[in-house]
Amino acid sequence: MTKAKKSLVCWALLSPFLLVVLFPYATMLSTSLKQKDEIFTFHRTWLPRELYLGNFAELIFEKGFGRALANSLAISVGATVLSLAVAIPAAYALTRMRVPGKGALTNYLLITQMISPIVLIVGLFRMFAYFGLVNSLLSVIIAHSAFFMAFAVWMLQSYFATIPKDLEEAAWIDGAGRFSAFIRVFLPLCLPGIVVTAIFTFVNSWNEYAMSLTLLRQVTQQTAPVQIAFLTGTLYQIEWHLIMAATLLASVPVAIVFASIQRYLIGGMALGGVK
Amino acid sequence: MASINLTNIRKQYGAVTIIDDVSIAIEDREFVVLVGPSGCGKSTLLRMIAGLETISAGTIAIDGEVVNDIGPQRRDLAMVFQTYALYPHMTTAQNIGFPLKLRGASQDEIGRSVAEVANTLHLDALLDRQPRALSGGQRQRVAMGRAMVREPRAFLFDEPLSNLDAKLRHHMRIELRQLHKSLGATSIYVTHDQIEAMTMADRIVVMNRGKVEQVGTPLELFDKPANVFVAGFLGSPTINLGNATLAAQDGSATLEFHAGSGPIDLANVPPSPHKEVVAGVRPQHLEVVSPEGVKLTGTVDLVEHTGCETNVILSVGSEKWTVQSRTRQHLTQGENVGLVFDPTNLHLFAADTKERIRW
Repeated sequence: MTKAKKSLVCWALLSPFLLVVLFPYATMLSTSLKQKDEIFTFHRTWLPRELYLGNFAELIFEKGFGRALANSLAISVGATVLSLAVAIPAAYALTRMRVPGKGALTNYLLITQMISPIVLIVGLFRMFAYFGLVNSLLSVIIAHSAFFMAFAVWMLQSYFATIPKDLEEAAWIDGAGRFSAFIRVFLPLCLPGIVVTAIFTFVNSWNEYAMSLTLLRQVTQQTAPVQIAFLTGTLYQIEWHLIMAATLLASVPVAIVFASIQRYLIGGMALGGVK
Repeated sequence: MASINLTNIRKQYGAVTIIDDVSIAIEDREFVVLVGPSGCGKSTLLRMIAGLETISAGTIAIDGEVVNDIGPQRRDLAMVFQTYALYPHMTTAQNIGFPLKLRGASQDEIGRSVAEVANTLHLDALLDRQPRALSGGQRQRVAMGRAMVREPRAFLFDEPLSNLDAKLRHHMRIELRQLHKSLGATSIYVTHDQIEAMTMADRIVVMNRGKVEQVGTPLELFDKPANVFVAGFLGSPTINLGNATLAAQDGSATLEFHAGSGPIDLANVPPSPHKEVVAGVRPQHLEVVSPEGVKLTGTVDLVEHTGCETNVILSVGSEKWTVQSRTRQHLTQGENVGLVFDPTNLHLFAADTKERIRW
């Protein structure tokens, strides 16, 4: 089978999945470009009457959705950076150093993942209230990073374990200190694993609802998912044109993050260094 | 360059002793090979010298300075790993230049040194390639280059040729030896391959189960193995060893193999207090003759022609012996033959301690 034929067959087999994946996006895009009265017509069409951007304008200028996106972005980036800053050294220590109680610690990290965040929300609220951090984006950054850190440690740990120890040892003998070998040799090789973890943390934090809702009480501090939920909760009607525009805007940053760093996901960097 | 002294080195993991009271003095500019079966502790010992493993007891001194508590960064040794351990994200040039970069050398300096080393190792055309685009032999050279680029106090080699094919291994063996001659660097080389040990070493250290069995020049070890282990480990094909009884007769000794032989006169061997011995004769020192009137006989199992030599595998009683002959042997399976050897080539070991009986 030629290469072209093979890829054609692959595409044919994958296209049903593609349909499932793209359908929500198509609906979002189509609905968000329609005017309010156009949405519930009897004869549904995919294409809007005209290219109407009024929904986005209303969303951003009247409903303050731009601010919500900015809040979400600040929280997600903050939570990703903070959790990686802790998880990378932690995972390194767990894979490369002798840590007393290593087994217990990794099991503990796993157990924390079994508890639903909802269960902890009242406790978390009280704790942040005690520190005077309610209504501060920092509280959500801390809460998110704490929640996603355990998973990040697990994921990084399993990736770090695949990097041959010989490489660091070679660097030590070449004259590098532990930190220098970590930065110059170990981290570059772990980049794919770190990127995957970063994406995961970012997406989780971006989509998180309950904690953001609880800890940020002011409208000006709402995150995108919280504000979208509030759009559905209007008293007399559900404003689908706005909701669809909002969900489209909320899913775009995630798509951009994925697209821009996916090249790092290609593994095999460690190939060829050791036989 | 440097001398390296290991004194009463011990390594324990809990109750398990990996290295047991090892003392070796390695002189400046010497090429020492640590050889032994896998799991004998030779690699661990090398890693302890490099500073990658802690030492449970004893001292390691480089040029008289005890380095037990000095990290691998500051021992100024270079090591070539079995896996080569090339940095996958760096090119050949960056790999070789890495130790200099860490020492804060200027770009000019690094470029010059890398070019020089690359020239010696014929890597000039490969400087821009990453390790994954190199063949096994080329990777090995890059690893060598990284070790050579700075002038370390000593080179440590951890089975560097074991991933190469036979032909390349032979070639690299010669190159390494020549390199050692031109650099004159103290080198410690770990291998499980006795041919590498015999051909490359100034001195060989034979290790077994964490202990040093014997230290000496290759020929010393081959001609006068200190015990049964060393005798059995060095030499290919393996030495023929058999339990035997030593008896005194008219001021000299006779030897009778348990596997079945008449008393063989050992004219040059004085009577020994040992009665039960392990006797060894190397395959090269045995000769196949007609069985008439010969004390030691066997039946032919297999004849292997390697071109130059012929290996005859025989059953002597219940034991398998090998004879290596440089003349073509036209023997058939099941043929009864006699075996003779010059008693000066006989190795005798005490049956209880397995130590060499000297005479």
